[in-house]
Formats: sequence, structure tokens, C-alpha cells
Amino acid sequence: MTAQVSTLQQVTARADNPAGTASLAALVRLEFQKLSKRLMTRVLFGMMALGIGGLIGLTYLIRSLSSDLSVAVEDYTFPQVLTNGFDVISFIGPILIIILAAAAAGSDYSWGTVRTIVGSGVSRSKALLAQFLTMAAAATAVTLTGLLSTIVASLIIGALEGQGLQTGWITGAALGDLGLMIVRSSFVMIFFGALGFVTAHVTRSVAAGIATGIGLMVLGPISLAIVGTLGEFGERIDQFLVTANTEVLHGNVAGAGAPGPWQAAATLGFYIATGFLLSLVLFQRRDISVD
Amino acid sequence: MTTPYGHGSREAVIEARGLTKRYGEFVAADAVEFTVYRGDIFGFLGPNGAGKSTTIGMLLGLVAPSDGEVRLFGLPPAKQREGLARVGGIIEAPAFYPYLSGRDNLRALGHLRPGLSRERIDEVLETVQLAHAADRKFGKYSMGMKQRLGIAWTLLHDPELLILDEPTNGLDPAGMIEVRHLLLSLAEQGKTILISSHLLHEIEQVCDRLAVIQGGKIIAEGAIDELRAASTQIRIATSQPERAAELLTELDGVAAVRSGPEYLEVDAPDASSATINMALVSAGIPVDELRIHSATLEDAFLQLTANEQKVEVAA
Repeated sequence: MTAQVSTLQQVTARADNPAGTASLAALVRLEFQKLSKRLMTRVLFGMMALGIGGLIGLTYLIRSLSSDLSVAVEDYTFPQVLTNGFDVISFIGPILIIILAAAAAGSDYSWGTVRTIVGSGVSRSKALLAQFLTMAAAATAVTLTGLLSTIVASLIIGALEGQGLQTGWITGAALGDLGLMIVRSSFVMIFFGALGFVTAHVTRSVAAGIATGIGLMVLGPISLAIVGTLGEFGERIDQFLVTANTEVLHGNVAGAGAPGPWQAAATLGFYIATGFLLSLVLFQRRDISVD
Repeated sequence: MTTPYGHGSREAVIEARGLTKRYGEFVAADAVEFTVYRGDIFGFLGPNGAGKSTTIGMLLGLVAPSDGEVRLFGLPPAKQREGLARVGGIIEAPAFYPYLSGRDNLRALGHLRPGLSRERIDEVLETVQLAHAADRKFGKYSMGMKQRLGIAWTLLHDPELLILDEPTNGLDPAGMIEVRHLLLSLAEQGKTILISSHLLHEIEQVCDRLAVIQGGKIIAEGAIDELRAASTQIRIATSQPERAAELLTELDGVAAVRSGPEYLEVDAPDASSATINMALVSAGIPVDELRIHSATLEDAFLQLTANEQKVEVAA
């Protein structure tokens, strides 16, 4: 470095000397860069694409060997395949986004990079919001990846069955329904992502974020069943249970006793907002540990 | 509290005032006070666990003080983040993303520093002699390379103030010399630098002023030369050490008298040696030998940490 003194003098003289701190957009770019270059992200998105495409392909293969093939082809072509695809997305997607969100939030603590970020003078609330927005975008991207994989699998199966591209089903109403399914599915995904994100932030642990998120996915239906045995009291409280509301948004539950879609979205939205505010308050007040 | 003087109109870049951090009953930093002036290479010296990193954490806005305040560039504590935008800091081991290369780490984290160019990233990597390994993953770096990347990160936005916590940790002797030269060259350009270290020789060779912390308390602050002078001892060999010690303890300018195996060790300015000699001789105490022992920073540090007594020195 001794020999670099003159170079150093030149470069420091030429460098910008910003007085401000990073904007929210800059922080989102940082989070996006962190996420997109991480091997885990690529693996999880790959799992989503291959998992959904693979599941659709596998069931096609099994059913094509049966005598019931004509029915099966309808299930694997548009528009029915989209509904089936969203069913699979609603099963695989939350697990992947929980892992992704918990890792994004918790790793900054385990690697100590939270010191580098906060020590730069950046607003803590902006940093957290940027991380949350990136997680929400990733949750939507997970849904879209699953959908894309469904479409590709359907096109391949259609081609194998000698069917051309089916476009007759494409109407304004059908596209509206598809858009709604994307929004609903992404919203549920954001909820589970927020759960992993908030838990990892609060506990400063990736493992805790993943365990809580997946634990809720497993225990949610069991709780719903238990609450269902509690009669009128159970009916009153199951409206607030996570599984009851995610199932409504997935279109699996409807009718008397079930919350409406807007109510379900509002309930999950309330949980997301409460969780985010909790992590925001903690992050604002928390000492960034100096080990 | 020490009151540094002799700085004229120099701008205070860091002012720590009564900084205290309590974790339950444990006090990690206890009313820490010091001032770093523009252009200083300021050493923050203390043994491991003395409270250096906690104090630096408070300077960098990572740790909220239980009491007291930090002023960066004279800005009130409420504007600490504004001040931090003009600071490049690393605390403890440099922390980056292990799956990103050195260059990609600076690119990603560069979003925290508005207005940076890609060329600037390459320039700082060149400056810390890490260009050859810029595309290697951070997780594969040696400790020395990690330290270099940490320094590159602090230089990225050409800050006015560098706060470096143990910047030579893990570096080999050649690397330590390089970092020392780099810091000196940065200081020549007018940068203000605070270096925390438990390595006395590192501080002694680079810094012009320092604060010594022990047990969470600042026990000395000032110019290194003055600190050494304040720790100068007068060593006296006499056949009547008890009488001599009794007499000297009462003498003006004598801070402490200790009995060594061969000498009485008198903490007093070297200018008072004649007075001491005269006092002993006048009292009929024979002086076999009287010599001034010039203190090294190590002597001063050991004396300070042994006494745990605050020393006020001119800056």
C-alpha cells in the first residue's frame, strides 16, 4: 500500500462526497442484489419451477397410463390446469418463501452485516422497509414462477397430446379471474413470508423464522379442527385463525360460516401490519450487538 | 474529566460526553468522555473487554447510550445519522456477505453511499491492494483480506472521518506496516482517524493523541508525548528508603512513591528531580543514585491501568 499513496490521493480527490444517506429505492436495490445473487434464492426458485412442473408432469404420466386419459387431458390444459397449478403453489410456495424471508432477515444478524448497514447512518426504518418490500416482491415472484411453470408444463402436455395452443378460454372474465388468483395467492405468500421475516428479525435467528413459519403451516389446520369442536364459541374465533383465512383466499373454503375474501384479506393484512410494526419498533430500539 | 487544551480553534469531529452503557448491573461504558479534533490520528487504547467496541458502537449509532451523548462534526445527537454519512467505520471483524465477491460486496453495499461510481469501487480495491482477489468470494478470504476489504469499504465514499476498530487484526507484519502507511497517508490528506486497538506499539507508531479506557472508564486522554512525560519516573537509590519515601510523599509535584527492589520509584515530572535531590540531601538522606526513567507508552499504559487513576495531560 505504500506505493499506492499517490494513487490514493488521486482517487480520494475525485470521489463524490455525498452528504446524504441512502434512499428507500437504493436500499431496495441493495436488498434485491443480496437476494438475487444468493445461491439459496436460485435453488428455491428452481425448486418452485421444477417442483410444480414436475408434479404436474408426474401426475399426467401416472394418469396417462390409466384408461381415464380423456378426463386427464382436460385437467392439464387451460383453463383447468391453472386452478390445479394454484393448488400446488399454495402448498409448496409458502414453505419456500418462509425459508427465503427468514434467511434474508436473519442472515444479516448471523453474518454481522447489520452492523455494516446500520453503521453507515442509514435510517433503520427505511432499511427494514426495504427488506420487507423485497420479501413481498420475492413472494409475488415465487407465485409467478409457479404459474409460469404450470403454463410450461401444460403446453408440453398439450403438445404431447397433439393439441394446439388453446386460446378459446381467453376472455376478459377469465383473465380477470386469473389476475385475482395471482393477487390472492401472492397475498397469502406475503403473509407467510412476513411470518418468517418478522420471527427471524425478532429472534435474530434464521432457524426460528423457518420453524415458526412451517410450524404454523402444520399446526394451523389442526387448530382449526380443534376450534371447530368448540361449537358457537369456536365459530366466533375461527374467523381469526390463519388457516381459515388463507384457505378462503386460496378459494378452498366459501359459504356460510367462512369469512368473506375481503374479511380474510383484512385479517391477514392486520397480522402482517402488526408483525411488521413489532419488528420495526424492536429494530429501532435494539442495540446492534457488538460481539 | 479531562479537558483537552491547546487545540485553539480546531474543530471537534467527535465529542463523547458522559457516554454510559449499562446492561443490567454491568456497566460496559462508564461516563466516557473524549474529544477527537479534525486531523487527529486518535488512538483508543484499552485491554480486551475494556469497553472499546461498546463505545465505538455508540459512536456509529449501533448501540444506544444509557446516558450521555455523541456529537459528530458538532451535530446534535438527533442528527447523528447525518454525521455518520460523513464517516467510514468498521467495528469488530469486517462484516460482509460471504457468498458475494469483494467487488460485489462493495457494489451491493455501495447503495448505502449515494453517488458512487463503479470506477470508485475498483479504485478503493486497488488502494488496499485487493484488486487481484476482487472477484473471489468474501467467505474464501483470509483474515487479512477481510480487513483490507473492510478498509476499502470505509474509504468508499471518501469520508472525512474514519473509525477503525482493531484494523490490523489478522494482518501479518507486512500487512500491518502497509495499513500503518495507508493511515498516515490518509491523515496527510486531512482525514481524521480514530483507531481502536489493544496493541500499544500500533497506537504509538501511528497516533498523535489517544484515550485510554479500562473497565469502561477513560483513565487518560491527551497527546502521546505528554502521556509518556506524565508517566516519567525518577528512580532513587538510597540506604534509607523508608525515610526517603515518607519525605517524598509529602513533596509537591510527587504523585506517588513506590518501593522497588533496587530503587524508590517516584512518579513526578523530570523537571522536579533537582528539587527532590535537594529535599533528600537537606533531610540528611544520602542519595546514592538518582536517574530519570523516560517512559514508553507501554510503561505509561501499565502505570495507568495499575493505578486506575485518571491522568490529565496536555493535548
